[in-house]
Amino acid sequence: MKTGPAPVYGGSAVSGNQGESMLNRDFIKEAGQIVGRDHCLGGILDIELYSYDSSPFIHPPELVILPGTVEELRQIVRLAARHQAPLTPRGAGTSLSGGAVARHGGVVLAVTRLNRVLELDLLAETVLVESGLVNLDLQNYLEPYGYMFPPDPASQKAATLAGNIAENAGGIKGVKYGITKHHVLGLELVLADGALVRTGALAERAAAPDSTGLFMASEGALALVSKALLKITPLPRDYRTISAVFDDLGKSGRAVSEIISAGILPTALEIMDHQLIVALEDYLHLGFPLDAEAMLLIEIDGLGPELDRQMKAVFEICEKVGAAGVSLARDLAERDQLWLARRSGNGAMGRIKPATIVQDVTVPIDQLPAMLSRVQEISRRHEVTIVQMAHAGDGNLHPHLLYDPYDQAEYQRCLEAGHEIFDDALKAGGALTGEHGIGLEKIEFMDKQFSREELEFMSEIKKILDPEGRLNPGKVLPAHYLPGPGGEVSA
Amino acid sequence: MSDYREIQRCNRCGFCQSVCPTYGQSRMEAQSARGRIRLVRLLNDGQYDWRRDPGIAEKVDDCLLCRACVVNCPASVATDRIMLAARRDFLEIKGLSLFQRLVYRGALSHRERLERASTLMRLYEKSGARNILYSRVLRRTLDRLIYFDSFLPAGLEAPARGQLPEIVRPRGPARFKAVFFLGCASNVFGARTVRSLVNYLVSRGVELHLPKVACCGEPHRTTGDEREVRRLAAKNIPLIFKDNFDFIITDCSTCAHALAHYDQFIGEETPEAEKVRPLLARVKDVNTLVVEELGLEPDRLRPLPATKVTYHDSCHALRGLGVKSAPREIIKAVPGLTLVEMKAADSCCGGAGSYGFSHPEMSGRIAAAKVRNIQDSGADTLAVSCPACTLQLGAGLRRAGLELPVLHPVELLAAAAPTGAQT
Ligand code: SF4
Ligand code: SF4
Repeated sequence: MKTGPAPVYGGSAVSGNQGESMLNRDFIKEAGQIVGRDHCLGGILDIELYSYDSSPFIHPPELVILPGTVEELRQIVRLAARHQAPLTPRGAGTSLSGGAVARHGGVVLAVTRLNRVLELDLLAETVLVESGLVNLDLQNYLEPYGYMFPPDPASQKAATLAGNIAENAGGIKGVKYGITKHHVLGLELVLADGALVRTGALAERAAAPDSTGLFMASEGALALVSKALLKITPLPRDYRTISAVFDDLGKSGRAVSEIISAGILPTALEIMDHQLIVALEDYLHLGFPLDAEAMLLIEIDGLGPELDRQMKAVFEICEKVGAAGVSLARDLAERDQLWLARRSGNGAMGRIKPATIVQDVTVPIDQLPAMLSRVQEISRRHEVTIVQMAHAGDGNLHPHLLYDPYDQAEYQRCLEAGHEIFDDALKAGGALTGEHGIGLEKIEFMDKQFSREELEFMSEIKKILDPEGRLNPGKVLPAHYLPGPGGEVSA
Repeated sequence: MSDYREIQRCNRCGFCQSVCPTYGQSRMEAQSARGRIRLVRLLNDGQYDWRRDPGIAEKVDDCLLCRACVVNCPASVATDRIMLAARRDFLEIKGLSLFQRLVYRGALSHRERLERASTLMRLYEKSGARNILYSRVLRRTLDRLIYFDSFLPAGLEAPARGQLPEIVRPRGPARFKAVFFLGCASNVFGARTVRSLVNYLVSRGVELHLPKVACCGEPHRTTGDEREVRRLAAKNIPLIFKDNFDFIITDCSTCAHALAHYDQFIGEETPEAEKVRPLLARVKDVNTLVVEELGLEPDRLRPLPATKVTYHDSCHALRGLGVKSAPREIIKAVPGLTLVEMKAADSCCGGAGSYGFSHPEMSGRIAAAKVRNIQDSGADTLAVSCPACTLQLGAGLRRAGLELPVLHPVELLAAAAPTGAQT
């Protein structure tokens, strides 16, 4: 069996990785017949192009298949089952934890071409979509009808719903509207053996036990999602977008806890630190204060007088905590620019250093100010650049650890700093990931976050649904709980 | 090479997928900025080699250079510069392909040859040979030929050059002097537009000079043919950047964008670049010149029949020169015309120089998507500020069986202007 190179950023995925192929010629030929030769890619350059996602992990698949219909997807999964080929499901490839790279070779199965909206039901307020639809394309489709799909991860421009479901993505609006799992009513799934099943509201008999939740955040390791029935939400009638500037990162965190404990439920509560403010100003020229240590973006939505009352309270809290300035976005254009800025945070890191490890720990909301300061301290001690942004409303931190891919020592320091952040978050009663998933990145911490019983339970479910461990092999669970390639457990 | 330093800033966030027209059609990584950059990066790191892996050149060539990714990239990675640098390197190793030799150095570099080709095209159209091509029997077997034929507008005029003198003076005293840079596509395919613009500008008191210029060099630049780019720029600079010309204008956004960057074309760190740099601000998009320097004077315009007009933003105008509002203001100023925005007006039409001929399949798909947006807007006229986009979208409309007129915004304005008026 072949093992990929260690997770480093720079090099080619293919060179120095000449293991034995698990895919035989018949498999490749038949796959080509199912999806067409143009969508069954085995050339060395295409392999390179599907070796990465947005994380630092790079591993080459042996074949890339892009089905054009759900039926093709199903046939490919069946074929793979016959040939016992490992399958790594992939959407847009924007995973930040290595979820979409083929750690153990085999096939990358990309759903990007399954991007149709199938049925909109405004009476029931639902929409049925193929899983490869891009989140933002769905938003744009719904907008003229006065609706939205609330989960809006920062990567929504590119990320697919398949990916949103696989990671149970939250996003900026998560604090008020909840995360992906709160808006998925049912799924159509292709199981490891190619069987097609429907769950939740998509099932024929709706009275059957609803297993939809099982597949939320399952990272493509339990089944492939082909279609999803989603609950849609009317667009808010009115909103206010407020930005507050602070001379200390911890203060912005305190403002967040106070807003929440005052019973205000903003649509969004986002913290950005000094370095991020500078990088984003460099990109968008919005007139951000370059000397600010932190900025808090707050959006509240609702109706007339109630909205203004909340806005007043938010202003008062920010001022009380010691904001250097609080202001209201003048118009829609300014508001859109502020959110574009926030959503661009991850990519804008390229302005500071070429490579990034993005973390995704969550802590209880009252621990947020302390955690933000802890990360600052870790950054200083390990001498690594850590840029902080946070979906502060649900205690979800996104520290970005930056490094130069050609500087191995710096990369090591990042890993060490990262481990310390994980440890601290768990100690504070938090979790490893809010929405980016375990992927390859956080496997070694699973033993710390979950009890043995819990991990065994997950392992049992995995073994039932994917006894050969062929779906997204080597991900999520530590090897001693995992069947198949990269695992040490037999089904 | 400094352009390659851009690669370092790409941290693979994938946001470019949302705007890259080739990704939009194929939904495959190789057709996105992130994928293209990745391959050039591996090449630069020495993992691959142009000679051993010519597939990389092919993938680098698939880029439209439309810059949609660049302006939407949170790290502002200049994908276009990376692709151009890669093409330059590849060209050094491989030399021009037969297609490039024929089209670029062979035809575009020589105005007379282009004009002779135009005669042939007109002959072909008038002879009725075209009808045979479109006949049912041959249709299926000749799909590719029909695709290329669709680029030929009906009633193609003789080249503009032969129809216009080298200097056109207004009746009264000139408000200012300007060079009208007559580019290759405008000359061969856009005579009607050029005549209309020239007449309009002269009627507004502009003295126009139409020196016998060479190709602007942009087509050669996209293939990485730096030597030819420099030769053409050196030929044009003394013709257009003369002291007594206040402005340099053209109906072609690609030419305008090229001329405005002639310091780079001639070689960024050369004395010639230093000399031409202070003069580059004279290059002006013609829509902007009309709005800012001449004024629209809507009260003097005659109403045109009620028409819904949609405007396509050319890459070189919008992302190259920052032209966005002027053409729209012109359309809105003409009584009778209503501006209706199409979806994704700012996305590339897929024409991208000769991309339509080198990549017929992808280019055709991008055009078809664009045509659907035009159709959905409900417009009955399409306004475009570039002959290359006009050619590409005209062909796309023809293939979709739509009879939408395609006009330059200033052409629409000219149609409403009082005839022979002088200010
Ligand atoms: S948007 Fe920019 S940084 Fe992100 S993948 Fe594309 S080129 Fe790279
Ligand atoms: S320049 Fe245009 S075609 Fe090329 S990668 Fe960028 S968006 Fe895609």
